[in-house]
Amino acid sequence: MYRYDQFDEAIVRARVAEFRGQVDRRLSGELSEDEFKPLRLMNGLYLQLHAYMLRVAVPYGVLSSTQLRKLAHVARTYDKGYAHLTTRQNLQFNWPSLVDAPKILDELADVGMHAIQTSGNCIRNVTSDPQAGATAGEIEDPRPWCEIIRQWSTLHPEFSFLPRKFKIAVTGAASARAAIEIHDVGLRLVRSDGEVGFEALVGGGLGRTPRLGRMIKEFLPKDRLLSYLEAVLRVYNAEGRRDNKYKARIKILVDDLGPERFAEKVEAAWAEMDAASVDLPDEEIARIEDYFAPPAFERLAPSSDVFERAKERDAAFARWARINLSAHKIPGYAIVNVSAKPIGGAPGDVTSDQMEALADIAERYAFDEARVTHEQNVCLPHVKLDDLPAVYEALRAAGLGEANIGQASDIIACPGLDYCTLANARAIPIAQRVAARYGDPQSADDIGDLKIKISGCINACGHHHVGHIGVIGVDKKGEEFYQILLGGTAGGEDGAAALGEITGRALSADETVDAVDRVIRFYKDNREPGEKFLNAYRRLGPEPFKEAIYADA
Amino acid sequence: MLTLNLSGAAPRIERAAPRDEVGLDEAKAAGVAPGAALVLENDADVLDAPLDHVDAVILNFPSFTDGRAYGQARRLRARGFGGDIIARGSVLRDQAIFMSRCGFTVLELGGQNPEGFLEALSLYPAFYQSASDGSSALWASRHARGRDREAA
Repeated sequence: MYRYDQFDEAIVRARVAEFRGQVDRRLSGELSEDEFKPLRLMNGLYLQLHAYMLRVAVPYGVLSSTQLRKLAHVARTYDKGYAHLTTRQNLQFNWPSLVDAPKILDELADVGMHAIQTSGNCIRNVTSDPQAGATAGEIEDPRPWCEIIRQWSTLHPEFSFLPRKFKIAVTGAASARAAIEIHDVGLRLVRSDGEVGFEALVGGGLGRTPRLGRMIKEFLPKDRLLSYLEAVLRVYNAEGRRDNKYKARIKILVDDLGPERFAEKVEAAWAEMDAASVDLPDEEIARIEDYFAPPAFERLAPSSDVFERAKERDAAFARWARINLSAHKIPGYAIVNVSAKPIGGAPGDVTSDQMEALADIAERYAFDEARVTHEQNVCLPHVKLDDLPAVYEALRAAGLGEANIGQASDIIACPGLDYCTLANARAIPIAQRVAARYGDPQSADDIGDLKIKISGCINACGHHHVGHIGVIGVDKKGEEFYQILLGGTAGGEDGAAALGEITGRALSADETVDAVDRVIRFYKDNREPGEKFLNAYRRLGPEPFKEAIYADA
Repeated sequence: MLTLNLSGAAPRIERAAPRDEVGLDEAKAAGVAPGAALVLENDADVLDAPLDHVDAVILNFPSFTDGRAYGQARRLRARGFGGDIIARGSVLRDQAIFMSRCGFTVLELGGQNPEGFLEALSLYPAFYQSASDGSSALWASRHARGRDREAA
């Protein structure tokens, strides 16, 4: 992974000093709240319902053991002993005080971390495939390009006051693990005539105007990436709407101009600029790539007796191995997907003890590296098959042994009205109640792959539009209600990405949990052998599923 | 008007004399008199601006959250404009370093204390990306340093 040198560290330290001064000026009254707000947001500090929330950047989700231990310490010292994994591979603390924020940032700077640009109308933390560098189906490792984008976008002088926030995701695989179709810019590494470059999608995003990204560049040579991004951002910064924050995202500009016209403007801006001063020379690309060289993998047999015997001995382990592991590109290794969705827990919450356990496991068994996933879980990208029984035991002991990755109880949920000022309704209790119905292994395995995604409001932080089953909280005369969407997907294994459709009128919390259950039962009763939920939905069409939702009415 | 002038080696606090100002339409029709400044609105295309014999351009920040002028300044510099680029409007110390890096050479301070601006301008030891103030990106200085070491 990337390691800070003295220059990276000096920049982060300067940022903390700047922010400490800004907090002092706010506390002394020199800065108004209106003036302070964009400054604190650009340092990841939100004001929530009950307290401040500090969102810490986890660049493309990658964490070392040292960083995990520091996060555990921060949660214990300045918060309530836990942190929350976000859908943008970040991590947030829900209860820090304003005066502690600079101290927390000092502590984070000790381990090469910060909260720069985790909020505000600027280029946000770049996200990626948590299995990058480990998965077999990858054109190339996207992480060097994520780091290159991270550096380029950090404190960018031209793009720190955009019309609205700007999110970039990069992947090297066909999988939906990076959800690039729902980002302002989605980049996928592709091969064309033997050369590797990017295809660029622009104008994806959820919220009140859900859109999938539109292709504006089918092949962008890798070494031209930064100047091209600079051209995209320059067009957006100049022409994106500033009169209405709900129409300020780049997706609206792409809607208004049309993707072709938008792409032409980007090409013109690209041709006008001095691209050579923006694009990195080969020696710098090589310097960054060196940080992401594969770890010292051993030459191992493709199967492991230790692993096979443990599966025969322990059915629970065998089930966990079947559900929570992904194939690694190196023989004798596996990718371990750690569920942060224990049945009954808040999706994506991890305690200090759990972060320390993950640090220990990563250090001992996984080349000192863990990744946050956009589905609010944790991935250990490189684990020897021989070590899987021990890793499972250690995870289980820490309360991280749930075998439910990709299943009905592996629910994405935003913080909702339990924390967030924007929410209409709570998301976490709905997730907990739905998950509880499918926590039983037999029923979960029978249902199989099912993505349920829950947002507490139209802003869609819980990605409800791309859930196979999506739930969105709405306000009905001051009460919490929910609408159900069906048929969405972030793409990848499901085929093309698609936005789910609202099925009908809003339901109470109790009705919602029952309606989701009727949808799942309808699927089970009507599927063909081996047919997944989304395929059954596509075959049968929305109507019978809608009838199932409202069957009780 | 109290201004911060960034065109020299060190920032200077100056009380600038008022100058004539000319809008884009007028400039296109009648040119810009020596010593006058061309005022560009935020929606003006800088490629459209007649820059011959112009020695100052004024760009406005209607609100400090409106970042359009940063891009305009950079495009002016990329076109080779060598005169002053003046930041007017919502110009706060927390934006000063971004303005400087985008090629602004004069910041209109209004009644604000210039000391805070000087502090803000000297806070960062390096930046990751190239910009329009003649400074080099961190990657460029890293490799230049490496080459120096090899040479020595």
